[in-house]
Amino acid sequence: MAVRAIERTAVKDKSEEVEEFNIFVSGVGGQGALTASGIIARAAKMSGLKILAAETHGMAQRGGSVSVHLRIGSKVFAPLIPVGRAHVLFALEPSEALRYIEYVSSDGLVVVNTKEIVPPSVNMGDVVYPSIEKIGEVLKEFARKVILVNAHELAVKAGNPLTNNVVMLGVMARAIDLPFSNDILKESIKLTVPEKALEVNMKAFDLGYDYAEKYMREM
Amino acid sequence: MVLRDVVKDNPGEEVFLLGNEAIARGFIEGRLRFGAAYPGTPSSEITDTLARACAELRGRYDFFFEYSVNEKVAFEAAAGASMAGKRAVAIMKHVGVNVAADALFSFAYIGAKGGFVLVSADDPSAHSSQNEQDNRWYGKSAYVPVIEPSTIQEAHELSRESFEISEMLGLPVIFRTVTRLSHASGIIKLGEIPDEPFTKVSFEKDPSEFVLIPAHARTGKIKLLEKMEKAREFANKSDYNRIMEGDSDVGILTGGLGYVYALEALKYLDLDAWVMKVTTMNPLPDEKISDFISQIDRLVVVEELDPYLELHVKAIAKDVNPDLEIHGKFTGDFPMEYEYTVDVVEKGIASSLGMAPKVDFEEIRNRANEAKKILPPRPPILCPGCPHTASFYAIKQATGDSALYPSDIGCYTLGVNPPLSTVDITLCMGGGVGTANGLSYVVKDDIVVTVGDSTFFHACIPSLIDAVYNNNKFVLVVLDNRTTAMTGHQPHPGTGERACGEIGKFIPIEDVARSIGVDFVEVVNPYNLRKMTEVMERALAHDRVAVVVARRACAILWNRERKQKGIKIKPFTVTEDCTRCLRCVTSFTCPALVLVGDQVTIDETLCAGCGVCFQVCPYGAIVSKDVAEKEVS
Repeated sequence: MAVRAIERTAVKDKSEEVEEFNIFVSGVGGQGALTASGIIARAAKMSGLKILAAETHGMAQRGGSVSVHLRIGSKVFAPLIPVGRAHVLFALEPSEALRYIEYVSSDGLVVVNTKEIVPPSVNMGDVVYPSIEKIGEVLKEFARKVILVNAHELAVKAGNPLTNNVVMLGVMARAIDLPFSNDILKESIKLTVPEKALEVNMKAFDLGYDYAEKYMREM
Repeated sequence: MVLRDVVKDNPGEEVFLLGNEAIARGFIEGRLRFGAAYPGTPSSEITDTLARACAELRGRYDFFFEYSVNEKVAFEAAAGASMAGKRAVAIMKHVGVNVAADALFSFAYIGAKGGFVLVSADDPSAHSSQNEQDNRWYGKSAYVPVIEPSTIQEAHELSRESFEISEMLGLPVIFRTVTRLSHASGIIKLGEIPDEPFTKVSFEKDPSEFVLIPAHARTGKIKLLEKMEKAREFANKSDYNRIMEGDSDVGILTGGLGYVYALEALKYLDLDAWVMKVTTMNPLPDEKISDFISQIDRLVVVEELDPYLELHVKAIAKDVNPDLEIHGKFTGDFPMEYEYTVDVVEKGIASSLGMAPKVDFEEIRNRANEAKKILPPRPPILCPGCPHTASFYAIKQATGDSALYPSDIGCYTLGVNPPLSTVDITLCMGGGVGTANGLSYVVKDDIVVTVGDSTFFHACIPSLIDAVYNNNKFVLVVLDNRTTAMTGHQPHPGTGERACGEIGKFIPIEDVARSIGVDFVEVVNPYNLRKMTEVMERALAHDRVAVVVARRACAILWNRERKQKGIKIKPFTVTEDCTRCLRCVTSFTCPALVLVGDQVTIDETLCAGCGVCFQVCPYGAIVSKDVAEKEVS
């Protein structure tokens, strides 16, 4: 019922002008990449925008690398984001940002959670996990704007480490002009997360938002 | 999954659904009465949705749905319902159609009474498959119409309409989808949920139609050809095959996902080309294609996988427009392998027309690949607490790692990766036991075959009978994790549950093996490494085929069950006794075992508390956290 009421009163002013806006979401299974994608997709739908999403299932899913293509706008037809044309690369884990780096546009934004999740392949001793500094440097060679944030720390500060994905949504909302308003994004979070976790998620969003605010002022 | 939206009875409402959910909804709106399936990625969410909707809608709109033991059985079950006049679907992944093909080719001769749809979910790029075959050819060789949607909205519409098309033609119809359509989400407009009650019917016997003795098969072929001619006329009239006018001498012939990629590529290239979208892949709308190619001088064919349209348009052009310049895979402008993306298509169209793509994709990809050299790979792996990991470890202990390991299709195929390396051959469903039969004649080594529980029922029983009958010697380990795990935890005969939540008959794997005549059959819990190793040693010493059922529920199910019951998971931890021998990560492996520097630690948030690593550690340095804390205090 609540969903419908909001959909009717949705702000539709931006739908006319949005032709194409691509967000590539990546992370490791369990980090909430699919939930974050769902929140973005819902916000787009609430704003009366056309939205397409593509995700990974089956064998490709076992083991953790999760990627979701989110495409918003009237001139979007295909489920996959073309190489070099993502407006945002939204990565919940640093190596998972680098893994999909070809998707981000050179004018685009990378928001990346710096908290590493070391894959078992490193255990065999054949490969090492690169430093965050190194990953950050490489990301900057591909995208104009890169924001590194320890979303895990902020999520803990908000009251639950599982809210790292919502922290990141807050960072993204401040760092780029999304095709929907922040109020709608927050409304979408409210409709997605369990009621008892609402407060901590709102706090997580604000902590991310404020972090980006500060980050951008310092840049 | 948003079942709430799939079963919503609010026509006209727009909902955001997964492609597969939209297809399931379309079948319900199209008055499906019976569905049968064997789960397989990327088709599984169609069947999961129908299974749940079937239970949810019971009493409001009744239909039946079953998980069958394999695709042939599913196809035949659906064919039976269709012969009795009820609308039916059989749902499977692309390679499943190979299993069902025997029934498919002959059912075409009989024809559909109630609308019959075979869903073939193809997997370009083999994301979750052993090959990337293009099932459009099945329509051609079996004389069966093939329809293929390009968008989620069209998938929803076509799944609803497909029964009508099938009944109008009196033919089974293949509904082809692909991974990127099945697993994409978009907004669809809900239609009506039907409300006619279900009634059983009397079968109208007619041996001249239903009994394919040679005489009937010969007349059946004539009837089939007549029906296909009608299907061709339908294809030429149908608005699903459409031409969009352009302002140039260039035309794009496309279908399936190729269509949406082409639209975007044209947008980026700023080209106003003619576009023809083909939805009926068999029979092709030959007259419409003729009209289309008469308007243009240059044609670019955009289709994933095989040059199916390209081959046909070449034949059509020979009579209609012999000077037409045709670009596609044969000219090298497009690749023969893997799924398409916008950039592949943009590059292909540009190269066909002597242009450059707007973005230098090649350069970006090369630069990205160079940058990614520092990345540790994150390939698919077995989950923390996965009983298969324990089984593979015990198998290696018992064989001294000198055996040959044919295996099969499922999560356990991931045993191919080091350090387990206990999968040497994977061919197809049931292929593990099948190949072991031949290998046992010619190979010196011991042979240990691993198959999953659902796979055992799917296609292993005939080959196991073959082994018993022919005195072939090998050990078959059935990794019985009580579910069809890889495709999303569907039930099977070895669980006793049924698709829509009903109780079925539980068929124990060990009873099947014994009844076939296997005289060494043991059931063991793989979490008990010592016991499992000991059973394996005896099985290897047995002089004929031996069956070991390694039974332990999938860790995902175990976690789910504990969460529901409010049982806390007790993680393990590494104590100071650790000598850094690294045996737990270099010969055993678990995502919860994390190497930090040269020290192994256990990620408590991942640990399932199975305790298998505790048995692997030669120094007793891995203990339950409870125990460790008690000792400290």
